[in-house]
Amino acid sequence: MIDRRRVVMHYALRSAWKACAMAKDATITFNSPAEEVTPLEIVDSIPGLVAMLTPAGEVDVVNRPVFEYCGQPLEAMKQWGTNGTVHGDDLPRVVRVFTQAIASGAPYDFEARIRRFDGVYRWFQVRGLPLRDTSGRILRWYVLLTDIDDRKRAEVFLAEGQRLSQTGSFSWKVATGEITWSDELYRIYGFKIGMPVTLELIRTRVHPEDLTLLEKMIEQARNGRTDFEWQYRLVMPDRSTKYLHAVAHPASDQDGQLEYIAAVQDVTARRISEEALARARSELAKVARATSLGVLTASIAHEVNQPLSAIITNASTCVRMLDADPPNVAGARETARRTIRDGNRAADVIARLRALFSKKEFTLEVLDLNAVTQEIVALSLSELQRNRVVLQSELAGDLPPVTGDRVQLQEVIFNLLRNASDAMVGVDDRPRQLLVRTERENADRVRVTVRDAGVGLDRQNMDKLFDAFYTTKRDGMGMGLSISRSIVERHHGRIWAESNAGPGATFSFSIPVGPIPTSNCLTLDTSD
Amino acid sequence: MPDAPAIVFVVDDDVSVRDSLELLIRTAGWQPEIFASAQEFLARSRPAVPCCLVLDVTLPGLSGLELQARLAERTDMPIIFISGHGDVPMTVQAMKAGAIEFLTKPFKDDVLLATIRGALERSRVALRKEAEMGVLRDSYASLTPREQQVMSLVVSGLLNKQVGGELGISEITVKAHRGQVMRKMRADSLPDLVTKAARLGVRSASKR
Repeated sequence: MIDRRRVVMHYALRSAWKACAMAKDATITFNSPAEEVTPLEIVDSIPGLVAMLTPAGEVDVVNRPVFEYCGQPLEAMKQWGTNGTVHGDDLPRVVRVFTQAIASGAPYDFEARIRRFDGVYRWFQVRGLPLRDTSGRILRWYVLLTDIDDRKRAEVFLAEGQRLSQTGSFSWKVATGEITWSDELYRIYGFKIGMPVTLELIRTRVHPEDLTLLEKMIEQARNGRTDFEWQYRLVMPDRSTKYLHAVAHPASDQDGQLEYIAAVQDVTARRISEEALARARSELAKVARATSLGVLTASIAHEVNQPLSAIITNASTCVRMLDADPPNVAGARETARRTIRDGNRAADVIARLRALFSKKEFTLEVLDLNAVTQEIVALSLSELQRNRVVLQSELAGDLPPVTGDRVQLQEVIFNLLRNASDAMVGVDDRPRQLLVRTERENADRVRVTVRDAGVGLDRQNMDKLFDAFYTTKRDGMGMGLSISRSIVERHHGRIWAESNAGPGATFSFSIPVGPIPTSNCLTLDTSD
Repeated sequence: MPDAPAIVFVVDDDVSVRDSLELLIRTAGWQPEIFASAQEFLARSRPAVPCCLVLDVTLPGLSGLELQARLAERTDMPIIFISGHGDVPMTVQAMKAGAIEFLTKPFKDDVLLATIRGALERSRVALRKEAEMGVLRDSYASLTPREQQVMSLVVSGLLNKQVGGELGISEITVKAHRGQVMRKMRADSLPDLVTKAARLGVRSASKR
């Protein structure tokens, strides 16, 4: 907006200068012959600050607004290069640009702080244009000074804000590929401020693993006019990684062309602490899992193995006794009895184990399955992101409440999410797409679905999927789905798996809406 | 002695395993002795017959590997390890420390029995060697100090005359002592005497 106004102003004033130029040399006769106007009067009537310089650059004439602003006589103004009219910080630059322009005769345009009568410096845009005669000789310079202090202040404010929040911004004209960056964005990318920005330049900094994502974003931006946001990483020259969070909004530029305005925030510090937290959490979970499962596995193996070993030895001894000549029938009978004893012992171990698994507390409450899902998805998000899983949630808006145990249902969803993520670990030729969906199955049931694009299911072993100790993972325990099934069944629901039409598998469970009959709750704690 | 029944010790904290091994070992013709812990086993006095130890790795209190370390001197009692979940480092440690076999439960009875048979054979050999050493030590102890001096000089390769020179006695006297040594040590030749001296660790007493 500002730009457009400036352009309009520029042309308006340019015509005015031309008028002034002519006026200085000859009296202009307007349509009304009664009103003869002196050049100075015209220049004075312009509501901006205007000055005229000799071809050598000396201040010749200034209009009233200049006098009013500076509060100095013309003679003092001629000394602007030495008397503090221009702010000391800007002076060297201004002198350089100015003398270059006067020497070359090219129009100039710079910004500088100029002192007001009361000693306050305000930012001005200073533009000078040479007026030439027919032979091209410079007759004089016209200078327009525009007060841009408010805009400049806003810019400084913005830049300071960007620096403090480590947020850069950019605009991208899609058709022309013109990209404009804020200073802070240059700093974030570690490029020299003002250096021309191209997509190629950006690609040199983006983390190799995120390049595909970048291309996808560019393509998406080219094709549609939607807001979008994404996270990506940069690899800096010192090999450090920066995490950026970008938000882009489509707009139209002056010519109605698609232009994106985007903010890019450096979230490295936050990400590093998040990752540390996630790592600590996952390590803790792993240790907890390893200790409980490891101890459990060892104790199962040991406890079952002992009677099993004895059974085999006893049976062998029994055969030996019967094979002897004469057969030791009494001994064989006693050995067989011991075999039965040991067999029962093994069965007891299994029964104890089952009791252990089913002894978990079961707390019923009325639940919003969407909230339950969102909570566990949020908890799993960083783990999923680390495995480069692209998560998509489709949560139904009209889900009726269910009665159940929040933590246990979350355990089921967590198991399904983790299985889905694990199933996609080796997938590199397609996106690791993971869909979580909640929906109403019918009037009485709601359903949660987790669909992955992973290795898929082995048709032969579909019926074993939910069995305890059945696993396809190298270091899996084979308990996840088995526990999930028992939880879902306790909620009077069912859980099942299907192969996708494309790659991957879909796991779903559905549970009834409304309250679970209380009589069923009583049966839950009778396992021991 | 050679016909004394061999003893197979079993140390395992699991009663089913213990009982089943006891029956199997008895059926195979050996004398089983079962213990529920390493401490109980250590309280048992050392037998004078061939024996071996079937030892569970994971025991309450003193572990199987620790018991093995305490029995390191007992070459006459080879150890066969049995384990519910033998991992590789554990197996390596047990084998390095001299175990003759490491069996994972459940194991085949004939594998265990064959291993026990081999272990008892080793035990028998070790006991025989020990017995021979005992006899040898007794024989050596029966020599007079002078005879022991003569023996050490003779086995270091000196002639009678030189031995006489060393000890300041006549060649005839040396000959008499030497005859006594050969008889008491039950050596039938000089090389035989040298071998026995080496086993006893008798060093040359020569001043040269």
